[in-house]
Amino acid sequence: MLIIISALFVVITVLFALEASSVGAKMIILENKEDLLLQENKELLDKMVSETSLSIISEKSQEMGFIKPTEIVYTSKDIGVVANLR
Amino acid sequence: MNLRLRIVQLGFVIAFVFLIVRLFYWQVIKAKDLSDQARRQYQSSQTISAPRGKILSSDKSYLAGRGDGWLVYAQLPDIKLGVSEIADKLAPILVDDDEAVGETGKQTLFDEANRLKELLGRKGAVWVVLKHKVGSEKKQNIEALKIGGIGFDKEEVRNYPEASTAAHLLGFVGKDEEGADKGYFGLEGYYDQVLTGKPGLVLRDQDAKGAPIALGDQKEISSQSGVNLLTHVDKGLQINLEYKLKEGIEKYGAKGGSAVVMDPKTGAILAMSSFPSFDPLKYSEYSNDLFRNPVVSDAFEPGSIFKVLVMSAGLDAKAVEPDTKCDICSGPLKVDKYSIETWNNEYFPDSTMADVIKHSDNVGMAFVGQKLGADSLYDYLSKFGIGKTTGIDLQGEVSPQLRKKGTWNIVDLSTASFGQGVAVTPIQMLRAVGAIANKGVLVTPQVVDKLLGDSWDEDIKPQIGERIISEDTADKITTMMAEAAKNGESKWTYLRGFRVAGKTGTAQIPIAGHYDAEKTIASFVGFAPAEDPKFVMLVTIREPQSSTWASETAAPLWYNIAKDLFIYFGVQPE
Repeated sequence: MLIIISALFVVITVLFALEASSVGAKMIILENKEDLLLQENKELLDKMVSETSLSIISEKSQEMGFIKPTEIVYTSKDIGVVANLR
Repeated sequence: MNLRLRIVQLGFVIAFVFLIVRLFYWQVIKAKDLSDQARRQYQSSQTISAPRGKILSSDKSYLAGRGDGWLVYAQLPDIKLGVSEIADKLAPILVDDDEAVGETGKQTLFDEANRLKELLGRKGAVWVVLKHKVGSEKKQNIEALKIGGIGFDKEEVRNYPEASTAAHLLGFVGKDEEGADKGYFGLEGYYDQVLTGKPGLVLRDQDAKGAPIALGDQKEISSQSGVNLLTHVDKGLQINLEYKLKEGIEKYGAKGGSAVVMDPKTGAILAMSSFPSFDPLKYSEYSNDLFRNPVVSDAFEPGSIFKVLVMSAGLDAKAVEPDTKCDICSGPLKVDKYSIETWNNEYFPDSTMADVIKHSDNVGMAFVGQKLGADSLYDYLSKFGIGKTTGIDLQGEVSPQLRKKGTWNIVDLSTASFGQGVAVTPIQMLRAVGAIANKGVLVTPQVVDKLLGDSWDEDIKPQIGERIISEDTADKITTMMAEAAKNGESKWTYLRGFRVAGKTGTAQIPIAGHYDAEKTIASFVGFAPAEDPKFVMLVTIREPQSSTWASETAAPLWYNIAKDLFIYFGVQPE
């Protein structure tokens, strides 16, 4: 009986040790995945930041033919179309 | 027999003592070293990086962000290919993209290859850095070459999406003596400790393959990211200001210039720009002289824009009233051995104080100064913050000293009354005029609005200072400035319908003990709408060539920028 219990104990210990070591390996895989995702996230954020730069948007808009208003016309709130919009 | 037994016994005793001593040596004396060696074998230590805080504009878009770059290194003993071959392969990738263009690009490529050859051929070295902060794309290109001995380490890279926009305001991130990132100048320098995060550490047991042992020891000290700065800076205004300032400097052939826009009620800096400027990302390619922010670090003689401060003092002290007549304004004024003249040699006998500001009359201002007295003028200028730093949250602010109280002679008093012989920084001047716009109350200029942590934020409240002049005085000087803007020497550039209170200033630059008439600093300071100002703005232009006068350079540039501000603040013409 004692021999059986001892053998069982040894088997459980070995299995447990194997499981523990495979958990470590799984942890490494998950950590690598996490690093990769974080890296991709950072790169996408970088890209978003640079693509939404006002200086770049301004340059692109000029290339596309947009121009800055050169003459601003102020209209009174009481006149014509402006009054209708109120 | 007995003797032999005793000898053997003695041998055992000696062996036992030796064993004890040796055991004591390893277990007690060397215990720590051995334990450390063992820990190094089974325990891994990994640093958790703490990213630097971001700098955001008022709409929370990025002025300075963070990204990842790579340090490219060479492990020299592991290199199998020839040094020249590796250098020739790496140079086209490692050279900056915008430099590898045209004929000069070939030279740059050649120089880069030579630089790499020198590094890779270094005698006695084992590990050399080939390049810092290389992008991921370039890293992939290098990896594709499969050159043995070339490796990468991750490092943080500062991003400035608007390139040189607001460079003086932002500063840049360089290295300290130990090679760690450190902010210099502007916000990066002033808030360096806040922006810098605290790295964390993970200690854990690992197996022979380097995988963590699930049941082993594990300790983690969390990292703390740097705090983000939310500024008052409006990116749209900033970019427009930069564009128009640059355009103005080129148009007037000036050596440089600055422009600052502030909310006079809170001191919030909405935009600030100076030229010549630099790219914070490539700071090492620029001269150190360019890093100093002229708005807070450069002093200049303000000239006629200073008159509004002196007149405010005169009015507040009741030394003069707006309708007081100047009885010495009919010609040049003799003070000691000097003669004080007007800027255009035109004289207006019996001018009122309003006329003195409108005509920017030096003689009239000397009259105000003499009525006020040196000590009283000193006290008012001190209250306006002249001679003291403003406390703006930017690194590198300086303050030229005001001549000591009680040492001003009649010449000092007279010349200071029209802005000569005193020095101010642009931010001091803007703050002082801001007090007039704010009905006589001084505020501290502030760039940062909030500190944003991971799960907290801290509002930086406006610092409202003391009352400098009465509200009535502020109204009177505002009316004078509005009249000066509308009918003074810069009236041709006045925007009809908009109530602007402003003043031009043309100051000659003192060189080797005398003033050079051809070298001037032209300025215009003003706020609008005059009765309820939304902004106060100072424009200074250094050594304009097209005209030395502010009315023909700084003033039109001020109005050109103000046109955008009127739209931004929804200011309608009357």
